[in-house]
Amino acid sequence: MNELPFEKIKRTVLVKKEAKTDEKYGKKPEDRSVEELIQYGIVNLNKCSGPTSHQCSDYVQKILGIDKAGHGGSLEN
Amino acid sequence: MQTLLKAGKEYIALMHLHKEVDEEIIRKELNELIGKITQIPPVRSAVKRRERKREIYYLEILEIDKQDVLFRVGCEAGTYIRKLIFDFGKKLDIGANMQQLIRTKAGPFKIEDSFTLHDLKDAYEFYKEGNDKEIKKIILPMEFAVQHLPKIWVFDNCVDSLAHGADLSIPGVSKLESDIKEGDLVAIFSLKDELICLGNALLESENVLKQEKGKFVKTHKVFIERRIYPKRVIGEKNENL
Repeated sequence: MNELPFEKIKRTVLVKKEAKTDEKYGKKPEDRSVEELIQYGIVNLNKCSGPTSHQCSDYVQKILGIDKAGHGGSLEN
Repeated sequence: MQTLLKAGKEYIALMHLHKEVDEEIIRKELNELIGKITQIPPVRSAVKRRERKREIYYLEILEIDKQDVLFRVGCEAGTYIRKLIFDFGKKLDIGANMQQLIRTKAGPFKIEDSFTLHDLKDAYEFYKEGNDKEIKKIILPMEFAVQHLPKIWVFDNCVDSLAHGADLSIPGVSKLESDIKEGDLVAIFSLKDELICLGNALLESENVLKQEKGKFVKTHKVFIERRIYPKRVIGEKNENL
């Protein structure tokens, strides 16, 4: 099987002390609005060859109308 | 995003051999690359050019057509595929170069789940017209990017101090994943599964279960904003602690 090391490790959840969370604070990731996703979210972008990763970040900024976007690694070969 | 730089990668590469070689030799020699290899980064690279060890986790030949070899390779972060191919050609004494390279995995991100800039543009237009179904498929919560890391969940009253950059001590831990080793990069979550911060574990999972005191994680990158969770009042009794 073609698996990277982290895909091979099957982890289980160990409970130290069970606790409840107060609904007053924070928000589950799946409850975030599109506006919140746009501000803090991630896009798995399939970059076309040509523009650099940096230029693609700029395109993403323009498309979403935001003033900050970054990328997580260029294809350095 | 630093977490992705250190995550394992998978590529599909097209290698061109400079002379024809027996297919069996190609298969055998490529297979021998699996495991630890030594590379010197290429002249044009972002890092210092000194010999370094990297691991090739798997290498699968997809197609051999005379001098062209298409293969899939899973490797440690910082492996140069162009160099791997160049060195392979040298080892076989025939020369080889890389003709194409696609990254198919970077940590939890897979090419089959990726989107193009056009997809993003279309989804954003739909969203502006009132349909948010597509954009929600494309823009993922930041938690997605760390799903390959071991996880720890902390009590509500511990969140804000972590948000301020404090380290995590054992009494703040509600749940944790197994198999955490000392030094591992770990992701710390609230009980609502919000990413709070990343850090390096100072203890193994087992020891955290056994011990009641001590520092567990050295925090180094905070994601959650401050004051989303209440500040812990010192001296206040809390049954969670």
